[in-house]
Formats: sequence, C-alpha cells, structure tokens
Amino acid sequence: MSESSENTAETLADLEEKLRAVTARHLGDGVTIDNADIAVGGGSNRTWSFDAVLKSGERLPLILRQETYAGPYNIFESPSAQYRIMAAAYDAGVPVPKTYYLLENQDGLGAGFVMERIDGETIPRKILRDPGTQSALPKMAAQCGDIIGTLQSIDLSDVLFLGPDFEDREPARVELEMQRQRLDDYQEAHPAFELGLRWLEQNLPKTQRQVVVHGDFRNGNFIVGPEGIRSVLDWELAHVGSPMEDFGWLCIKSWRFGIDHKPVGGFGTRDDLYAAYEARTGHAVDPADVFWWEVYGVLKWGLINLLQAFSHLNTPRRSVVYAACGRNVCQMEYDLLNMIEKAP
Amino acid sequence: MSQDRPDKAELLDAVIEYLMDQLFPTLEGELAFHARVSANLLTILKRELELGEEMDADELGRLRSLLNRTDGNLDDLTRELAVQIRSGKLDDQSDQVLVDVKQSVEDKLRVTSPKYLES
Repeated sequence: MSESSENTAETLADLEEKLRAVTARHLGDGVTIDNADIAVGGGSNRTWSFDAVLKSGERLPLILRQETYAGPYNIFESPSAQYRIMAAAYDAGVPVPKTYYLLENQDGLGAGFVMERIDGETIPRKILRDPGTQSALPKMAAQCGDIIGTLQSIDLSDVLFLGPDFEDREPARVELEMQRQRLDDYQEAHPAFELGLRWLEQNLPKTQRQVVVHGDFRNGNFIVGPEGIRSVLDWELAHVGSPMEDFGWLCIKSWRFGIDHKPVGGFGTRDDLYAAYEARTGHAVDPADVFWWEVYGVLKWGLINLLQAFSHLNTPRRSVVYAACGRNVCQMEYDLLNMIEKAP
Repeated sequence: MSQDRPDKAELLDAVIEYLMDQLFPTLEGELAFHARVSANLLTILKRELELGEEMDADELGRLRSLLNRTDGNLDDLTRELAVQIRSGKLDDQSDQVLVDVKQSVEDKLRVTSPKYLES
C-alpha cells in the first residue's frame, strides 16, 4: 500500500496552479506552466504532459505521473520507490526519463512524481507497423539485451527501498508464491492457472543470482524513435529478482502483437537479445531458465488481467476496460497450457 | 411469457450497431476506445447467449468424470478441481487433466475471442 491519493486536482486550472507552486519550489521562483494536457491513463497511473518555463526562459518538457491505484491488493510499487529506482537506473546508464521531483502531501496532487518528457512512439502496434520506426526494429532486440545488462549492474545495496530482505532466498520461488497468493486474493477458481503454478513449482529454474528487475520490460513500455529505443518507462513493478526474469517477460506472446515469428516483442530475435546481454555483462543467458520465466510471465499477465476485473467488481475503481480484462484472462490461460504442453 | 421481438440477440445487435456505426465515429481517443470495448463486450455476451448453456453442460460432464463424481455444480466442481491440482492429487492423471482444462479454456475463447484460437 502506498501514499494517499486524495486531494488530486480536479480541473485543469486547479492542476496548473498546484503544478506551478510545486514546480517553483523545486526549480525556482518565476516558473510558469504551459501546455498542460492529460495523456492516457495506464493500469496504475495517470500522466499529464506539461512544460515548465523557468525564469531564465528555459522550457523543460515534463510529465506528471500520478498514482491512481492505491486500493486493496495494490501490486504496484509506491511512486517514491518508482522515483528512486528510475533515478538509480538513470545513474547506471539505463535510458530512462530524468526524474525531477517527488510530490508531497502539501502539494495537493496526490502521490506521484515529475519526470522528463521524451518524444517518440510508445504504442506497440504503431512501433511495429509505422514507416517512421521501421529503421529502429532491427536494432531493438540487441538494445534490450544491453539495457537489461546495464540495469543489472546496479548494486543491490543501493536499492534497499525495493525490499530489504532479499538475501538467502530463491527468487523464482518467491515470485511463484506471490502469484499463488494473488490468485487466492481474487477468489476465483482457475484450474488452468493451477496447472501453470504446478508446472512452475515442479520445474524451478537454476539461476539463483539476484539483480534489479524492471518487472514490466516489454514492447509498450519503450519510447521509440527512428534510431531505436530512447527510453524505458513504467517502473511500478520493479523489484529484486532473477537476472532471467525480464527476458521471459519481454518474450511472451502477448507482447508480440501478432508478429509471432519475432519472439522478442514482435521486433527481434532471441540470438540478438542474448548476445548483447552477454557482451554487456559477461554472464550467459540460460534459455531453459528464460522459458520458465516466460511461462511465469504468461501467468503473471493473466493474473494482472484478473486483478483489473477484480478491482472493477469489488472497488470504486470501475471501468468498462477493466471489466473487459476479466474476459481476456482465458487468452493467457490458453497460452499457458500450450507452453506447458510443449515443455521439454 | 414469451417477450416480443426484438429477441435477446436482436436487442444486443441494435445496441452494438448504435455504438459502432453511430457513436464510435463521433468520438476520439479514450472515449472512442471505450465505445469499441463496450461493443465488443456485447458481442461476447451475444455469443455466450448462443453457446454458453451447452458449453456449461459439457464442462460439468468433464468435471464429474475427472473428479469421479455423480453430483455437484459447475462452480463447486471447478473449485474442487483447482484445489486438487494444487495439492498434487491429480499428478498421476495430469495428461487427462490438461486435455480437459484446455477444452474448457478453448470453449471460453470461442465466446470471448474466437480469433485467438486461430493464432
């Protein structure tokens, strides 16, 4: 559970005034706010785009990211943890928006933070099909391997805010137990997910090393330009875990958007992905472990859809889109059973 | 009592057509997206009205056979199956469990997103 999301600005004028006050406190008096506009809401947050015009005349393109899911069974890291992991990733050399400031209670804007706004395409189907990003596609799998490797260079002692008790544990088992607990929380019987959990339990992976995991590293959370990936977004599922976890999630069928012969996000090959990682880190990728994390990833995505439907049915956070998520769950069940069926 | 026409499916068609042919073209961004999702949910409901009853009966038959039961309703037996899979009790017939569970998942997809089965 994270900070209160109350007192969120209700009108654009109200938002602009509150933004001006908090921005002035952090970036200096004389700041004005320009071009404020609501962008799209995600699963756990809402983002506003705006420009801060400093007293010097300098114009900073910024994003305000507000938490919208703080209810029961919240699975997302708090905005302050997201803010801190993004800053740590930035310092490590990961392409990630620069963070500016974290909201406080006195700001009256709920929980959230302000970060750099980076231009580019984020919508997966457009990235994969629009002419403007075609030149990026052949490079992106290697970029992903390099980025995952760079992220894993962060010293775990610098990210204790992600949960201090990660010593002496099996990361795969920890994740597996967490998903089992979530399935129980949602109070629906899903034999297909039980078969998935049973398979995962009986085929635990070998890699025990632990590193920083982005947790939602996939096509859809990349800002892409003609030259490739410019930035990695959406750090609310960051945690400490297996070095193979982000590989599995990146490669699940749901993130290929129909282009199944390119297993990495619908844009690239596993060979390019793994080679770039190995070049960056000196560590080998274990394909059998990655397969385990793919099976895990399909289960995790199924349970996130279940969570959306659960919150629609049981909390004030209602939306026709979240309701629809409940009827998407069987897609992940189907993928999961197909994977178990062909598992070695 | 038999209701007058439009019947259930025809009513859904009327709303789906309104959402997609009239409302959707006037909307942009999130509102347009939500209108499309709404129409899709009604399409799911229409398929469920047509196929659901027979699918439920088939699934109940599979569950009773798998769990060796002569009674029990769909909800209770689905929960029982989930519990038994988790406990490992069905490990020695895991091939049959997988076949049966997959059949039920495929039936759900025939209602919610039939195209997914072709992918």
